[in-house]
Amino acid sequence: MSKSRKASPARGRSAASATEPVEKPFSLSYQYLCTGILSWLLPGAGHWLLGYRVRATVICVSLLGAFWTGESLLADNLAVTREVHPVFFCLQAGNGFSAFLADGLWGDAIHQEENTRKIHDDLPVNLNLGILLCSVSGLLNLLVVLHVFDPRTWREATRDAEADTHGSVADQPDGAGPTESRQTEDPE
Amino acid sequence: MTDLATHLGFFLVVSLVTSLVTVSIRLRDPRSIVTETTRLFLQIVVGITIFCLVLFTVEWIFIRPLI
Repeated sequence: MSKSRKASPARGRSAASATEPVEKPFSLSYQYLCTGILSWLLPGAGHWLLGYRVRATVICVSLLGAFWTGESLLADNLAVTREVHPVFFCLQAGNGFSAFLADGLWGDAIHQEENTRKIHDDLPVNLNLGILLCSVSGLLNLLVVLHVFDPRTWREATRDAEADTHGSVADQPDGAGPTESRQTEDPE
Repeated sequence: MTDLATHLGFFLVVSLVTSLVTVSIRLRDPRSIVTETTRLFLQIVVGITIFCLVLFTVEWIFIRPLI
């Protein structure tokens, strides 16, 4: 009896690994690339497709809310445009589709010659704050995209999906299943 | 709203969005997301406030006498 208690951790690990299913090595796939690109185009879409719906909603609302608040601060349809603010446009391009939509909708109007003088006279009061919000949300979405492209996120999502299937927690929302109580942080 | 108040408001909003998204990427449990977001948000706000106070003090000591 005492012998079984004194089993070494190494033996315990080997016994545990013998029962665990062998993970397939990660490989690039069409689904992986599509999810990553969708995550860039629409903030939170990648996490949604991976099954993390609460996080996806939080990310989407926060980032798109910040971006469109920033855009709305720039009065008279003055988007953070590619031609006027090339550096800041690169930063806000992290928002994907929204950034290009804003640029497409409002980007051209301010570049016409007859408007140039008016723009310099009537720059929005909160131009700097609008640019700040748009740029910060774009950079944060790049962080989200990097997380979606991380193979460890996919392994974890596969494990969670399997646990949900076998653990009868399919009806529970993201964050309420046994995997959540077991481990709340990604192994990064 | 005064200009300073607007800037302070945006500072708080940006800090909140940054902490919320950063934590949402890393954690999964909604309750821990809220807790960790609050902690990170306070860290950012307190840290930057202290940094601003240090800058203000340095300015007050070295720059103001020159004006």
